[in-house]
Amino acid sequence: MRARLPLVIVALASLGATFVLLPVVALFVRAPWNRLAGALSGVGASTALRLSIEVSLAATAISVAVGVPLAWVLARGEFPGRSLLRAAVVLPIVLPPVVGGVGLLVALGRSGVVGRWLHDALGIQLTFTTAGAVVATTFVSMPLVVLATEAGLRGLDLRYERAAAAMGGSAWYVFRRVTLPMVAPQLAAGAVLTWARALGEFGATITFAGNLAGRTQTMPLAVFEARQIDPGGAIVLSLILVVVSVSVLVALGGRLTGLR
Amino acid sequence: MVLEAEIEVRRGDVTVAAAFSAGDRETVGLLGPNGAGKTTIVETIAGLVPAASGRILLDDEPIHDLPPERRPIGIAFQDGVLFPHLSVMENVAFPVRARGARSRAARERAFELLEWLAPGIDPGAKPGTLSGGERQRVALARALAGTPRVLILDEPLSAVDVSARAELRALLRRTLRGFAGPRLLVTHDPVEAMTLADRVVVLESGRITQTGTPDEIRDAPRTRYAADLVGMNLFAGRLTPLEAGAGALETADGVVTVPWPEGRAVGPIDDVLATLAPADVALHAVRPEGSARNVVHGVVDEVAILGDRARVRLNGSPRLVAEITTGSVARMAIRSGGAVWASFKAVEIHLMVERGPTDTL
Amino acid sequence: MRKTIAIATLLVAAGCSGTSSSGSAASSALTVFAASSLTAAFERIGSDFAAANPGITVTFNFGSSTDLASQIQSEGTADVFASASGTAMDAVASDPGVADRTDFATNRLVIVTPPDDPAGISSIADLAKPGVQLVLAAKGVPVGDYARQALTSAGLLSAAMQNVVSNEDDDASVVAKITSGEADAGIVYASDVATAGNTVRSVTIPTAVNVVASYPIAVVAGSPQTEAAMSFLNEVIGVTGQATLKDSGFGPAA
Repeated sequence: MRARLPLVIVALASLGATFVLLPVVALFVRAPWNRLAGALSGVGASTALRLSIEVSLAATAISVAVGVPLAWVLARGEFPGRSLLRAAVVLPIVLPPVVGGVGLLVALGRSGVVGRWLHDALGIQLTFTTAGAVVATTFVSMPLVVLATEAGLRGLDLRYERAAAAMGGSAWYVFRRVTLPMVAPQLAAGAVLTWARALGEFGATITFAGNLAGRTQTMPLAVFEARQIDPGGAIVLSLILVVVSVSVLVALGGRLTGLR
Repeated sequence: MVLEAEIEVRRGDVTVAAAFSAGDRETVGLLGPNGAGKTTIVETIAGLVPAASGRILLDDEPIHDLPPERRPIGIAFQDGVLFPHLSVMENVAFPVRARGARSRAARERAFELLEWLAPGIDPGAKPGTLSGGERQRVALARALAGTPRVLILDEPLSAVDVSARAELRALLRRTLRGFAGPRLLVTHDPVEAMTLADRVVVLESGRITQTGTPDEIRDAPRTRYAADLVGMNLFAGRLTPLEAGAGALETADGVVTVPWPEGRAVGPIDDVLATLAPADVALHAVRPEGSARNVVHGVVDEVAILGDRARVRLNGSPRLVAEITTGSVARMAIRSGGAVWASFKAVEIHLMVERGPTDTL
Repeated sequence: MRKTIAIATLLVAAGCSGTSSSGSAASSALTVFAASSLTAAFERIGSDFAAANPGITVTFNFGSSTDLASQIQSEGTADVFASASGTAMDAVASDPGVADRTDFATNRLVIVTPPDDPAGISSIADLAKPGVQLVLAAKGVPVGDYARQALTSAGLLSAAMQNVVSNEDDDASVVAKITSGEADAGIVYASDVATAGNTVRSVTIPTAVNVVASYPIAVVAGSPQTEAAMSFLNEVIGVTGQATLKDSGFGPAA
C-alpha cells in the first residue's frame, strides 16, 4: 500500500522543493546558450574545473585519513574534554567559511603562529598555493565525514568487535576487518558529503589561498570572478558546477552510500 | 587440560561471583534463569568483561591477565554474532586469519570445518541470509576454527527453530564430545543442560546454588528453580511402535508408553529423549483405576520438602520423581521405605526425536 | 553578505515608506549605492547630511561598482549611485537611466606593502622583480583594471603578472592580504591607504604612469524622492563633502 500523505505535508514539501530548485532552473533559463562555447573558453572553465576536482578529491582523501580516526576517538574514547573536542570539530560547519579562512591565515599564513615557523625553517608557504587551497577546503569539509562516521560507530553493536577480539583479533586487526567495514556505509556517505562540500568551497579558500587561475582558482572562485567580467560566463560556470555535482551525487548517493 | 575459574564481576548493581572448574573432556553446563549472570561469567573467562577480582587458570597457568585475543578460548556466542559483512567462509576463517595464518591456510581450515559442521550451507553466503540453526552451525565452526584449548557455547539453541533443535542438539553433543579440552555450555534450558552436560552448575542471581551431575541435581534439587526446571523425569532409549498413535520407549530401567511422534514413519527409532514434569506424576496408596497409560509400583527412596511442595523419589521401573503437595504426603502417609503407586498419562510426556534419516541432509 | 544588506535596505525602505505615508510628509528614506572604496568617506558625509537634514534617513549599500550596477538594474532600489568607474555608471545610465551625473572625486593608485616591507619595494619597477608576491584586484574590478593599465604604461605588465599570486575581489581584500603579511605588495587606491593607516606602508606611483580614476555620482532614474537625492548629491560635491573626501585620500574632480 502506498503511504497516504497529508495535503499540508505535500504543500510544504512542494514549497521546499521549488525553493531549492528555482535558482537552478533560473540558471538554465538565463544561460547564454547561443554562445556557450565562447563563454566556456573565455572564463577558463576547464582549468578551474580540473583544479576543483583535484582540490576536492585531495581534501576528501585527507579528511577521511584523519577524520575517521578522529571519529573513532570521539565515539569510543573516554577522556576529559571529549565533548569540547567534538564541539571544536563541528565548529567549521557553523563558522562562516571566511572566518575559517582568517583563522587559517593567522595560524598557517606566512606570518601566522605556525606558518611563520613553516616558512622560515622549512621554506613552506601555504598561502597562494594549491596546497593552501586543499588545506582551506579540508578545514571546512572534514567535519561532515567525522560526524557521519562517528554516528556510524555509535550505532555499531559492540558485540561484533568483542566477538572479533575473542576470536584472536588484535585491536588494529579488529578495527581494520570489523569496525571499518561495518561503518563503511556511513563513512562513504560522509565522504560523499565532504566531497560535495569541498567542491562548493569558496570563502575559506579565497581568504586563505587567494584567487589565481590554475593554482587556487577553483570553480566557485571562477564563478565569483567571472561575475565582474562576464555575467553570462558566470552562469555557464555555475551550470557546469551544478551538473557535475548533481551527476556525482546521484550516481554515488544511492549506490555507494547505501542510503537509498 | 583443566580450567579453573574463581571470579567476581560487577555488572551494574549486580555482582556475579562464581568458582568452578571444568576438567579435560568435561562439559560443564552453566544453567540458570535469564539474568543470572551466566553470560557474564563466560565473557569474563574469555576476557571480554573485566573481573573485579579472582583468577582464571588453565592447567595452573593464569590467563586472567591476558587480553582476550591471547586467550586460547573458542566461543560461539548467543545468536551467533556472525560478522554481517563477511561471508560464511570468511567468518569461519576469521580466527585463523586473526592469529596470523595465511589466507589460503585459513580458507582450507574453514572449508574443512564447514564441511563437517555446516554441510549444505553456501560458504559464500552472507550470515543475514541464513536461518537461526544455520547461523549457529557457522558460529560453532568459527568457535573451533582457531584451534582453541577451551570451548564455550553460549545458548547455542536459543535462536533456533523448534523443528531444527533436535538435529542441532545431536550435532552439539557430537561436537562437544569430540573436543579435547574443557567445554562450557551456557543455557537456560534444563533439557539442554541435562542432555549435553557432564556436570551442571546452577546459577541464580549471580550466585552458584548447586553443582552436580544431571542425575544428582534432578534427584535432589536444592532450590525452587532447580526443582521446577531441572528436576524433570528424563527417559532415554529406543522407541518402538505399540499401537496406533502410541509407542513404547524402552529405557535402561523400564518401559514407558508415549505418544507416537508426529510425522514420523511407524518403525523403531533410536536415541529418543523424553521428559516428564514431576508435577504430572500422580501418587496413589492403592493401584489406580483410570485412563493413565503408565502405572508404576515402587518403594519411596526419599521425600524432600521444598516449601509447601514435596518431591518424592520412587525406586520403580522406571525410576520416577513425583511432586505433590505436603498435604497429600500426610494424607497418604508417604514415607521413605514405604511402597506407593504412581501413574502418568502418555500425553504429558514430551518427546525429543532427532530427525529421521529421510529428512537429514 | 551584500545581498543581505540589499534586502535589509529594502525592508527598511518599505517599513519607512509605510509609516511616512500616514505621518509627516517631510521625512523620507534615501538609499545610496556607493563603491566600497567610498565607505569611510560616505559614512562621515552621511552623518553630516543627516544632522543637517533631520527629515531624511540615509541608508548605504557599499559594494563593487559592477555588482552595484547590476543590482540597480535588477532591483532598482537605489536613489543615488556613486561609482568608482565610468563604465559601471554608463551601464546604469543606459538602464534605468540617471540624472545630474557629475564627477565628484578622483582616486589615484598607490603601491602598498606590509610595514616591514619584506620584498624591498621602493618603486613600481620593483613589482617586476622575480619572487615578489604581488596581489591585485581581479580583472573586471575597476581597481584591478587600473592597476594593469598602470603596469602596462610602465612597461612592466608581463613581468609583473608573473608575480601575481592572487586576484582579489576588491581593493579591501587586496589590503587584507597585505596587512596580514601574506603578500609582499599590492596596488590599491590612495583612499584605501588613508583607511588602513599605519598597518600598511605605501609607495607612490609616478603620475606619468598612474591611472586616475574618476568617481561619478548621479540620481538614479525612477527614484521616488529626487529632491532628497539631489540634496545628498549636493552635500557630496559641496565644501564639507569635498573636505571629507580629501581627508579620506581622494583627489578633487578633474
